[in-house]
Amino acid sequence: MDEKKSFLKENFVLVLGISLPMLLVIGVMALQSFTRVITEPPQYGVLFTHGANHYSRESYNLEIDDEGRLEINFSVDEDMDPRYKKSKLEMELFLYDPKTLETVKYKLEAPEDYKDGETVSIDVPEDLSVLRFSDKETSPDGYIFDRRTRNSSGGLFTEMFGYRRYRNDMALIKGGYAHDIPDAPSYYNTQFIGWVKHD
Amino acid sequence: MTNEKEIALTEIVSIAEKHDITADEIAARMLQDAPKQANYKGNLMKTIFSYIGGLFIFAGLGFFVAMLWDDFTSPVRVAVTFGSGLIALIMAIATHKDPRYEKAVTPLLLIAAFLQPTGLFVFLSEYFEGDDVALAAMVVFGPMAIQMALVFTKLKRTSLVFFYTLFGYAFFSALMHKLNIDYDVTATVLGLSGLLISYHYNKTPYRSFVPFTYFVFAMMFACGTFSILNDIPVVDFLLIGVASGMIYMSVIAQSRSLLVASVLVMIGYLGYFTAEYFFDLVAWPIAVIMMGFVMIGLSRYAVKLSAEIK
Repeated sequence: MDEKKSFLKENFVLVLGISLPMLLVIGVMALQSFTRVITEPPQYGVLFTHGANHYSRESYNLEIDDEGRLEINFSVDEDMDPRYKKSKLEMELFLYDPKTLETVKYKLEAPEDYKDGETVSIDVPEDLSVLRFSDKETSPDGYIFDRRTRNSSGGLFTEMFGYRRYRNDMALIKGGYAHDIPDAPSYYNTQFIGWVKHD
Repeated sequence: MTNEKEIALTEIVSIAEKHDITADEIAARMLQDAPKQANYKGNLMKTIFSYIGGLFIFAGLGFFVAMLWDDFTSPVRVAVTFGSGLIALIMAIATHKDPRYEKAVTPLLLIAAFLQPTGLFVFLSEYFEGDDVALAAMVVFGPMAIQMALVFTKLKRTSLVFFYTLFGYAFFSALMHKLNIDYDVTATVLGLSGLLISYHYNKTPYRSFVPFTYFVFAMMFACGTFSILNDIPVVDFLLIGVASGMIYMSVIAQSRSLLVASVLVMIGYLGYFTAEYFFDLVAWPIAVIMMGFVMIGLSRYAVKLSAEIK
């Protein structure tokens, strides 16, 4: 016992140095476990787009109508640079189900022989056409689809060199609890469309 | 360490204390006297050519691997990276007691510390799917830290202390990233922890890298604290306390590198306060001049403190 006390006394700084990160890790893990236990996991699937280039995003319009159906319209601005019209105007839709932890990808392609300035309706993928959506920001069980954390408010290096870091993964967030989306897309070029309504 | 060597060291320390001679002064005198030793020039040339030769061989092997990388299969890629590192480590352990190869031990450990984690990353990349960088870093740096610590118990080399510290902090950094702890908090806690551990190392024989770790961890701690406290009115004035505390610690720790880091941090913090609270005022140019005076004052204070650090 005395040996232990003597070791602690002699190596107090070392013990403190090693304990600090361990205490932080243990504390955060305990807090996260507690939050997970007291928070109901998300129940509602989320539909979003990700990864399309600027011109594709400008060309596709995804909306939820009054009855909760997904509508996809395509139109190309007459003023769009001809070089970009030649590029592939594609869009990818993702449906994530938090119950199965699976994400399904749907690819949308520009209709053939479209005319500038004309709006064309695009067929909704079959799986999605049978679903009903809500475009409210918050799901019925209180989750939002957002960036994982908006940390690093800016540091000394930020002030000195204009460098700033973010963590960009998208997640389903409720209060202090964040439900990770497997292979989550980054915050950039991600657009929320709606929550899957239950019958 | 042999008994005779231990007795000699005790005598040297006792004489040094009696005549108020510092460790730095002894080291400086030994380095100053080194060129006078017999065959110094011959040894110097031999050493330089040996280092350059070793460097050429290592660089040549590196280029060779890089050129043929695409033709290598997965097991070969792992073997040429991790395998080479592991062999370097085994050679270091095998030769550390042989006086003929004693000087090769540290370079071998350096190669092992560089190639083994590289090889483990290659292994993960070749055989596993996914893009969880934090998890990969934990899987690589955790075992590496344990390995280096275990080898240290046998070899008792300063470089091993440096490596297991480096890998240990890399592991904790990855773990904190995995737990989604803010970078600011991670930098603050790991920076403070690193400063405390450097303070401990400074009291051991394995302290030659401590000025470097003092500087790095001090900057980490300062940047983390700044990120947490800046932009919070009134509370951000605590930053001055943080910088002052670091200067105080540099005196307690008798470390010039920590003092340099602390003074840089103090100047950075004062720059922030000037920009935050005085930027829009007509008195801005005056504030800049005042800032200049503060910097000069700080530098004088730092020189005074530095003189007190033996």
